[in-house]
Amino acid sequence: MNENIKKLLKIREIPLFIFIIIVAILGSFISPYFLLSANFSAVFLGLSLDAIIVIAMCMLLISGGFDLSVGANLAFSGMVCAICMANFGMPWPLACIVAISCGTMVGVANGLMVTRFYVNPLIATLGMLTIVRSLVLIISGDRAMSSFPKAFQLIGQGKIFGIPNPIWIFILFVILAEFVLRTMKMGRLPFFVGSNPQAAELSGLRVKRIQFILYALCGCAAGIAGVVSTARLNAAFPLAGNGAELRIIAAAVIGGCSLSGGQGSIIGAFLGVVLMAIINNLLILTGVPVYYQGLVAGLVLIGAVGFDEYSKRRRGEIRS
Amino acid sequence: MSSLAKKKPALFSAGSNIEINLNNISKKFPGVQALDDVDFFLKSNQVHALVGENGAGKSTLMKIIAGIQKPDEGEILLNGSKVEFNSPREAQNHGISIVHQEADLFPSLTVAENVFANDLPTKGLLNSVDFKKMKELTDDLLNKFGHPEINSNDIVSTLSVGQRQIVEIIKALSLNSNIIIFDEPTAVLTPSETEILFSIINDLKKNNIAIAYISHRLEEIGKISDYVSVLKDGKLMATKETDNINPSEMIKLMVGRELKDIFEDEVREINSNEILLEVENLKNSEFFNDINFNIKKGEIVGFSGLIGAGRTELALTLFGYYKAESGKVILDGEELKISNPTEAIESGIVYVSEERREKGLFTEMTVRNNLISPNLQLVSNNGVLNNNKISDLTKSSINQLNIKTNSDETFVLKLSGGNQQKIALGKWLPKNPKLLIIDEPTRGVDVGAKQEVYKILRKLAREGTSIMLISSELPEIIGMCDRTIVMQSGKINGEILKKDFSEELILKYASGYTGDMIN
Repeated sequence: MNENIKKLLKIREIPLFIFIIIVAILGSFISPYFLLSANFSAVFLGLSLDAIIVIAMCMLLISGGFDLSVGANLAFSGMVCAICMANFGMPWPLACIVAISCGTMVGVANGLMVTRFYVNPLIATLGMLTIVRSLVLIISGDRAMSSFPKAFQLIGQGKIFGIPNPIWIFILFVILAEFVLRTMKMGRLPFFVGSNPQAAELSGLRVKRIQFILYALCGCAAGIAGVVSTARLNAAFPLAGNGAELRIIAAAVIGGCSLSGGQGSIIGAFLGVVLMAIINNLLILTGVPVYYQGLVAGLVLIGAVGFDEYSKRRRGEIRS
Repeated sequence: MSSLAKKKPALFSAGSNIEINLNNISKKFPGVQALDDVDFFLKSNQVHALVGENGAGKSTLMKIIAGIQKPDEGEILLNGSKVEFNSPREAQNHGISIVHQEADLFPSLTVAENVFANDLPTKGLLNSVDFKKMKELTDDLLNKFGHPEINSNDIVSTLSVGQRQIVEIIKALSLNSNIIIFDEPTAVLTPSETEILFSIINDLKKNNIAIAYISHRLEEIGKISDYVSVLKDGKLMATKETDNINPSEMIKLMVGRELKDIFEDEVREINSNEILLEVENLKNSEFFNDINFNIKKGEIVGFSGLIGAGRTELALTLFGYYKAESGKVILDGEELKISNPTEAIESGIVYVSEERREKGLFTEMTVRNNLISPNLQLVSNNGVLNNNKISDLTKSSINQLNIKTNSDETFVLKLSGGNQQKIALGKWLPKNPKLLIIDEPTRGVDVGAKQEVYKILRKLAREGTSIMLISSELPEIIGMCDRTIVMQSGKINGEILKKDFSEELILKYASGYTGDMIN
């Protein structure tokens, strides 16, 4: 095989992208609706919340961190936003700022627990998940809230050049994050921290600070997703984002992130989200019962990671 | 299997005659030919010593005997019949056990559980663990070994390094082995513990056990062994009866050249008397107390001592990784208040760790990324990385340090130990450090790369960088340093000037042993 092609295939994103194209082509044969622009727009609109969060999660995973509380945080921030407008009569821009700040504070709390009190990230964010879910129920009384100002709804429902705003938002974030990670000095830091935290500290990198910032960033992304969700549906639901954390981590891992840190890319993680969404969409279009979705998602996750690890070992990149 | 428990205590029980022969063994690792067509044997009643530089392949050869690694080529004959060990357990079933260089223990379990880890004694129909029996047998072994102060119920992580080594030895003895491999057992033992170990080895010998013994201390080998084999760069240089070879001949075979060739005895005048670093009454009660010393500009100061003397901890305190409780550190006339490595690096102090894979390198990243890791500021403009600058820095480092790698995109874990060390050291050079602290610079590094590392250090010193060189290898201290400071149990025991250097004197200070030296 041509050396350049070999090199390209080693980049995780390329085979993933090709795989998505293949799935899409197969999809167009399976269902006549698949390639309709309305369907496509719906798929991307549907994955926009996951896509916003996966960007921050990807950076956190690269640094060796982990956040299980993003789904709960999404519901929490969305609910805070709704309550600020409906109960406290805040103008919508202020409500958005308060909501995103609340989301960020959840991330800050995670960061403090992990970097200052040395709580294992899995435990810290799992605890945070149940706390925040409970907070949502407390502040909402387990009731959905709806009917917000038209201007606010535009965040989620408006279109620019015919493309829904949530899609613009995640495209913007993906490009920005990809740029930072690839070309900025600070974008390299998570890789060093995740690859070997001890060596990173002894190389003079401020490991704790970097980890802390990434947890906060993850909370912030969940907060933004919460606001977008409330705006798009014109309602805040207590159960919003249920199970999103695992779906998002799975997508990031499919896209090349390593749970032990040091590896991953924004584009890859984003493509992971796209792949999962397209497969789900096809299952729905072809009338496969909803019950099968989890089964397929699990097989794709294990298959993708298993194949990658296997081929790396065969190429001798890792000593087994 | 409770049969083992019945056979206890195994210590000092006579076994049958045994002989193991390794013929034409070869083993390759990525980037290194670890063993090349090596023959080796072990016989009952005999101690066969194995010597060679770090990276000569001694440990690999022993790991092959113990079933931890499989040879690429060659055969193993046990009492004349061919055997193949696919796991340490299979080797143990043939009566082979190994006392590891770095204690391979379960830190959170008790001494007794560690000793019996692979075969807990059981009782009753339910095969429940017989804790009482386990404790008795372990205590018995500890007493025989002369270490009643270790309790079989102690958690291993609470023991000292030397004590852990003893647990490791007892574990091997408890396996009822008739072939025991000692991989540098005395490196962490005190002189009196060493004496006890020698008497145990002599007892084992009398009881028909075959022993392989690896050590860097050549005078020990004369005392304890019957045969000596010398390895160099994976090749067997010679196998001789110990009586027919003396230490200086061994050294010649080990390094393939005279010692003075490695430390080319160039005259390197320290061109200033200006003091760079002044440490006053530095204290961190967990590791060391009352440390006072200074280093001049361009001076190489050795730090000798046994493992656990507190040298690494002192280095890491100067580097801001640990906090000092009291005392002053003055660099270039200014008192430093350093609370983390970032600040240390900013003031011109850098540190190269002895555990380069764990603490010095990003092994799953490329050569390029490793070399820029502390120099991100240098290769970026306003926070944006500049690819040309990165390439320039990487290329010049690779050339300057003579790093042997296919490309700058190669993963560091694929390089040999010597090249890894050059990266761990070399990544600091673009920062022009004032003080370089380097911890065991040539551990696990082959002879050629060793010389290159020395060359780099000397060049740095000539250019005015002061070097704090922590090393347990005495020839290294003697060959490289202008002065050496010797530490023992967290305090400075003495300071020796270059003109007074001798291995004996350094060891004397290092062990705190005031009588005549063992020799």
